[in-house]
Amino acid sequence: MTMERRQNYPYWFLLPAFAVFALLYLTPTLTGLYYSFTDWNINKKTIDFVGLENFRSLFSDRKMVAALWHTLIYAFAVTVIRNSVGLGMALVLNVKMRFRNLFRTVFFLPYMISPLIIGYLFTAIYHPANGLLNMGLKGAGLGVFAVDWLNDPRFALFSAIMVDVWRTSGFAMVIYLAGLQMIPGELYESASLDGARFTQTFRHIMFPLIAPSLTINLVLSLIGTMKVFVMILVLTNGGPGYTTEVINTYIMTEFSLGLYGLGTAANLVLTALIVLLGFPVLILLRKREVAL
Amino acid sequence: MKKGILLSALAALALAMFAPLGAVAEGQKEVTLTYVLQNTTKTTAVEAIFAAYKAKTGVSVEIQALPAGEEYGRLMQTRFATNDYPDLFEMDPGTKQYIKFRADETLYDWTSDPVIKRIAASTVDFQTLDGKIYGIPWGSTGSMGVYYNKAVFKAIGKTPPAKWGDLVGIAKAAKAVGYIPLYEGVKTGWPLQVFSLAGWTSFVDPAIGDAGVRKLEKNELRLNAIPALSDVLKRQYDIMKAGYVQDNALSGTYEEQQELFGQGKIAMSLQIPGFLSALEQKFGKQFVIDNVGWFPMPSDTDTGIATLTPAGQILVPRLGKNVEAAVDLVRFMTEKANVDILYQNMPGIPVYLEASASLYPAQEEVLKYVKANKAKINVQNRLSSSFTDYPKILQALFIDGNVQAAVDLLDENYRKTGKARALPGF
Amino acid sequence: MKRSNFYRIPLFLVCVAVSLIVLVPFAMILVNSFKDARQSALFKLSLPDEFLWSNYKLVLSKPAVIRSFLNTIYIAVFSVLLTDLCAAMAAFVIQRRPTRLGKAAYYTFLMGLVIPISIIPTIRLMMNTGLHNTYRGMILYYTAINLPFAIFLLTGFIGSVPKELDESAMLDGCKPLRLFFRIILPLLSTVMVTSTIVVAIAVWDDFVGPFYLISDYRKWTIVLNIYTFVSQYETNWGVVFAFLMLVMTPILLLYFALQRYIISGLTAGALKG
Repeated sequence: MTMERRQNYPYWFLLPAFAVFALLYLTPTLTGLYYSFTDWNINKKTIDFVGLENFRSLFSDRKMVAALWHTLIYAFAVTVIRNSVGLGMALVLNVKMRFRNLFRTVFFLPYMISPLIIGYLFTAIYHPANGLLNMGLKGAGLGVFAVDWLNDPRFALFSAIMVDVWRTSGFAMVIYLAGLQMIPGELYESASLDGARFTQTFRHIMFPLIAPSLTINLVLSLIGTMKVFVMILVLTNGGPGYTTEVINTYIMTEFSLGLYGLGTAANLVLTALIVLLGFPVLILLRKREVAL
Repeated sequence: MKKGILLSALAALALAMFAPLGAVAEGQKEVTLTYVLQNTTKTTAVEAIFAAYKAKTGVSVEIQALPAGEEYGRLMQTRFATNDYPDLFEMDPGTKQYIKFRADETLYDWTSDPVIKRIAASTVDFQTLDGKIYGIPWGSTGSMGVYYNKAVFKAIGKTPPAKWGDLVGIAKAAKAVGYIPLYEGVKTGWPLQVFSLAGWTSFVDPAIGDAGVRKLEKNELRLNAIPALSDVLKRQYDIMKAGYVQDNALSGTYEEQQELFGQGKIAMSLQIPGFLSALEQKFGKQFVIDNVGWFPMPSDTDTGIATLTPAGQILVPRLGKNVEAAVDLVRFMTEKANVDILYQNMPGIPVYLEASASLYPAQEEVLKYVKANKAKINVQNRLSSSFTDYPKILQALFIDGNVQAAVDLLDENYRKTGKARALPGF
Repeated sequence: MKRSNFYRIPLFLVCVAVSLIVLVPFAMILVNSFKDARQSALFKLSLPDEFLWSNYKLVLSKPAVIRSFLNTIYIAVFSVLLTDLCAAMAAFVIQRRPTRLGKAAYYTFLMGLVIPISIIPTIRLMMNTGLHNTYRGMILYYTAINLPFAIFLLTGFIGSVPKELDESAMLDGCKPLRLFFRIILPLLSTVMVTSTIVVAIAVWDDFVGPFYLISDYRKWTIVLNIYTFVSQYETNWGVVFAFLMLVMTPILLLYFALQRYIISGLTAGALKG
């Protein structure tokens, strides 16, 4: 690059962003790494190194193990369901349809609303006696399905999963729709000239060509859902019992008790989980994108 | 030129961002004290007292209400950690709060203050740790136990039980006629503890004695090594299993409990003294006087021992800005005229010697047990560590019935908390 | 895509059905926000017998509510400004100067999208630097956590601003700051709108930040005030719904006015990035 060019794109432009980012994100992340191995808590004035003690404590804690498990189930379930619904709706909207933009606007709407609000909303909807869901089921003669969605240990996690799907499918759909709309019309024409059925068109043209959308959606889904917190907090607070505890609710409990070292250690476990799951998925999908 | 405008705009931006440094600071002209309490506390009494104080001294007192429960303790501890001390604040009872807030370093020492003379001897003892008193009791003594609906009992032809077996009989009779025998607020969580805490004084204390509790305090006895405790939890689970609680046990809430109790659909409720004020707010004073009775958890052989909930306390940070004024306010609050206002608004057994308080019939019952020496303070207030996460443990118990797992986890949490608080013996 | 008209109607009906699934819950909140405590606890979709404005009046009468609205707007405005500015500057250099350092910076920022925030160490850091429980602390916090996405979005977009513009400006002797502010920035306006809205909504909707980082309830943002209306002891659903409506309405208005920008910006950034 020429001297002039270097001067026109000076590195110091990076400084403001980097300064703020380094101070309030990188530094805590790095110190967090250290604190995970200490006994830092609200009752002691000093902070002492304790090695792997926190992790031993975490993995022998029934509640943390349950939280780990639930976080994984939640992440996987929401990712699969959200993307299926999102893709399905994108395919539907991809058809030349009246009010397409209106529908798109409506479907995307819940994503804009705070998970906290959505949580309280669905606490009302899931109410066993008066909630819209059960009233609707009973009205349609499906009363046998009208269970106690949030308080029955068998269904609580599933109920939370469905709320997340309701809230975020619109986002997935929007990304898929954009990907679909980038597919040149001629490809469809030649396919229909060859007499291809829809399923064939989908498998051989559409699905491969929306690979970038798929990558983005799956990776963002996986990473985002593992960090779930406010939704579960409001819907069930990890209950009944421990049946919907996730890592972030566990961290909050430890924090409320003033056990900061333990909470930070749990956060490290979450980070490790996200990295161990997220990166391979990202790399695999990117490779697929390139190959296709 | 344009660059100049741009730069000054940026500078203005930067300045504006740093401006509200003082935006939330209070005016420093006259002394205004901040009094912090939990947002579930009725403030009528303190509002009246503070108005009187202002009339007398010209000092205003601002009430700050923070979210109740675990949150409250954490928020207060965080404020202490950031040297953001309120002038005075209410806190849960007991000397364990002294430990939590590192009283010897941060709180005003009341030990030799004349205010102490106004307090009942047993309460003074309760507030003393290693010979020091850092908190002034504020409230009344009540009891965790079985609050029952007298009208319902009459309808099923029953009287308060003389022993455990009778309690089960009452439950059976109530269920047979369509009443909810015992309502458990499972979803709300904290009400679940009342059964075992009320049961502790009737079953566990006799089994392990004061010596046993002292051992627990020093971590020489483990909670999962107390058969009587496991037994109480088993009884709680069995009552639920036998169908003596509401349908949809797991969705029971404190709100619904109050509602249904007032409507006369529930026979018995295991509850804290605050239940009475909640019922009074919803159904009126007369309802509470006429219809609400109380008895302690009966043991296998007798009517049992009452579990007492001590009064909460007011703590004054020594490092606050207006310590003198805060201390003066507390002295004012504990004068006869003002404690009378307190007890008028929140009836209960007074802890102040000169106070006159009128009690609900349910509370008179409690007083009888206190006078007969058949009452003990809630074990949670006798220990410096805590039954951490107890509501969740009990919820899990209700789901899988595994009593052993429950006491194991309770013990584990108890010791973990003790260790974190650096209590001796942990 | 050409498909036989046969499918159009059922597909349309599917869209209507899904729209209902999305909208009915909101309708429920709206309708019940006008009912009294007993009625609203029934969560019916029916119109109220009489439109009670008392719920809204009650919510707005709490000084905490108005105060937190103002707090949130204040913090949101400055977070947006700071994020937009820093992200645009950084994205500009990252995209135009693809060196190792630039790439390293880019991926470091992207890490912010993956690795969860270590909230507890953040609290300690903010306490030690005097930022805890302050407005400026929250502004810096929100900037830090929104920079990754903003940079991601902007870097993708800047690619579509032709370099020739830069070069002709440079030939005219334009200094970098001038180049940036007077030429590049205006061209980024569409994606800046997206970035602004995304950050604003992130601040508005955020619960975790204020919950952990602000201990003075007078500095709380709007969503934290749910605690004022939902307690363990008593929940008046009518009031809660009125509160939820008040919190949602600004976002809904912003969304309906600018949803084109939001959606197109998100998709453009996501698919080009």
